[in-house]
Amino acid sequence: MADDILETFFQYLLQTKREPANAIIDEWAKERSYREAVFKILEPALVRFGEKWSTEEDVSLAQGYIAAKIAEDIMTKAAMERPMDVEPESKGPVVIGNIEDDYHALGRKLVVIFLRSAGWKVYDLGNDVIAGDLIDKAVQVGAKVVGASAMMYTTAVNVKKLRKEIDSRGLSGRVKLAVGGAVFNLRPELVGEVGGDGTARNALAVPELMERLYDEASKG
Amino acid sequence: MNGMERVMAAMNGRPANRRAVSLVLSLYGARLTKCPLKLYYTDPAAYARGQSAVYNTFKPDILFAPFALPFEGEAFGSRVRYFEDQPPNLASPAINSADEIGRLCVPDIEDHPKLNFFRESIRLMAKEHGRDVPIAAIVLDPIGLSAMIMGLDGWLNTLLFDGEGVKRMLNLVIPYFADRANALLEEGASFIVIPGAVANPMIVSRSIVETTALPVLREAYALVNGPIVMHSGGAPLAPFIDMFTGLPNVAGFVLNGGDNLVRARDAAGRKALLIGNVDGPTLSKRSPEAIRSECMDVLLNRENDPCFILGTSGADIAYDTPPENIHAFLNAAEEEGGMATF
Repeated sequence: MADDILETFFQYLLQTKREPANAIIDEWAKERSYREAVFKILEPALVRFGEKWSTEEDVSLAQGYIAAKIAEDIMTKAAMERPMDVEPESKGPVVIGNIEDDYHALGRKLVVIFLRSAGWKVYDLGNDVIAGDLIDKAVQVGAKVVGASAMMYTTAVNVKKLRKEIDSRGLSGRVKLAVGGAVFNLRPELVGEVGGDGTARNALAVPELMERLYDEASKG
Repeated sequence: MNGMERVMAAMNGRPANRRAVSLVLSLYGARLTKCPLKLYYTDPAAYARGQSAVYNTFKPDILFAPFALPFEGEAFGSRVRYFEDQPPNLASPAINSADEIGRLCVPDIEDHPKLNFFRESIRLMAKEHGRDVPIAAIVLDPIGLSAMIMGLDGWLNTLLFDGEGVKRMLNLVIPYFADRANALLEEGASFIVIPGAVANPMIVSRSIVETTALPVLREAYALVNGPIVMHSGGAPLAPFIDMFTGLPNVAGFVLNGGDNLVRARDAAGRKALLIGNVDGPTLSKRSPEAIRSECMDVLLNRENDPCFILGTSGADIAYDTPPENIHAFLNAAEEEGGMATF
């Protein structure tokens, strides 16, 4: 039964069918809970979707966008449930933003949704964020990972300023730098060039990256 | 042979004295003339001077009109930001959703200062170089233009969930697109390059491309009075090129960096012009020898393909790219010229 619903839900994700995807979860949650649906349906479906997105060329940004919207819908419903048996946003915090001069917001917005869906506390500083502001926020909230998004090469090089800011404040090793965006997929060597500690091929792979970087930062 | 003759030869599958070369050096003209970018992207004479410097320095086989797509959004009310070392970028869209389409005012092709910048730049470039080298005008298709006006997330949301909103938006932008493309051709552009960054199955789904984008492109491209070259816009194109080959007036494709050239040729057919596919924006990060080697690999791959132009893929070649890197690119074509068998 659960496998059938998981498969149907996964197909709705692929077909960008937001309403039917919500409806099937609403029906499931009537006799269980949205929180259970998150763990038993949403998360496994997103993992499968993420694998497909990373490896196959016919999964589109639009499908990722709708998957994020559906995840957000279900997480919102789960958050409304009382009593909650698990504290939401139990991981993190992390600070993210589009790097200085970059205004391509969609990828960052998807990352925020998928991170929050995976239980991360996220401080999203928006577009065109200068390095100092990202690090100020990370220090203020105790974030061990800072994420910088850039779509094009011309803006990706500004991530170097973030690396410099981390190093000059003596935070190397204790604050890790995640980088992402289309240009890093096209030119993976750019991750090292700008001083990144890691990247993810798409928004759904970011929670796993954050787990790894957070662990590394915790070990110092 | 001059650039015009080489490019025409490639478009028609005829032999040339060497492979034609296309380098996206729209931005680079500002470096050569030491022109501040705010002036470069607002004064047609400054832009045309920059392109003359590009031509005189490198002798590329194609010159590019301003590669400043955000200005098309700005003409509809989007906000644009200027930079010191890169082209202008969209800072915020004119509207955020289909609910606000009623607020949009379609700019006057004849009279809008930002649109006149493109027209006047092309007029000046054509007057100076139009007999020697083709001038490529870069125009957003109606699907991409809508994203530039509404922002990508607002437009995706509309494409996915609001069929009526899609119709209202496209009713505004399709006639505008055709008028604008034809105006640029009248000023002296040789062909229209259209970045298909949104109408691509990697961005919207394949079903949206098939059911929404292709009918729109078919209608819009048929209204253009000249050849169209579809540009990957930074997304893989080779896997989907067969979807676009039958569109009206489409003469060829600029491939994405990383696109498989053999696959692209198989899908595009024997006669379609293909351009590519050395990544342009990161030319600055490689040595001249590495660039030459990469170009030679591309040329070897296409050695018997007369409808191929060696070119950069992606956006503009970066401002800080050393001139010797660009010369290395050109030298590869010169070097191959002697052994070309096509």
